[in-house]
Amino acid sequence: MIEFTILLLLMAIGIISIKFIFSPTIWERILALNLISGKTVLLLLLIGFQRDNFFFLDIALTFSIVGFLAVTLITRFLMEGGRQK
Amino acid sequence: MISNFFLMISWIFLLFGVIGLFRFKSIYLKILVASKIDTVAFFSIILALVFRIGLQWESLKLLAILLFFLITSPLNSQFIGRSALINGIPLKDPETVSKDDQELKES
Repeated sequence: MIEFTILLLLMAIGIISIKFIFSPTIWERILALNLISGKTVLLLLLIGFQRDNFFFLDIALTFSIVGFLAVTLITRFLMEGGRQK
Repeated sequence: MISNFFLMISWIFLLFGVIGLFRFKSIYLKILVASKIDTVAFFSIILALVFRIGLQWESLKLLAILLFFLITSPLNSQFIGRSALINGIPLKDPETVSKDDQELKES
């Protein structure tokens, strides 16, 4: 079951990456980045449980903090006009 | 057993999220469907893992990750939507607005 879930998450990340590359506006790209970061945390947790290695939990917590900071800082930068200001 | 049930729920919601990201045209509808369905998938997978290992220190760590995600995911969605609104993306699609106007005129 866990292996199939890992496979499904990898397929979802691949399909969202297509959306990330070929989207017209930058906000859809940031939305795709947000989704990819959330699914990467799940992927780290599931890989850690499949290998019986609980150190992956700390890596997943760190990765969730980094993903939140990335999306927040990029959107704060764009909200004030971005590079065109 | 319960853990497998929660994993199956997460498969369904992952598929719905990917389909909804390609189905809708407006950015706000995409934010809505993606954030809601991603939260449900996260919740169900972490509950499945907690039921799999029982009550340990690692399950408390998993619940801490879940709490952090439940706080930050709506913040991210709100930031993206607000940034798109301030920079001039209209709330309604021009195509759907014109269709509604035509239907009103015909009726």
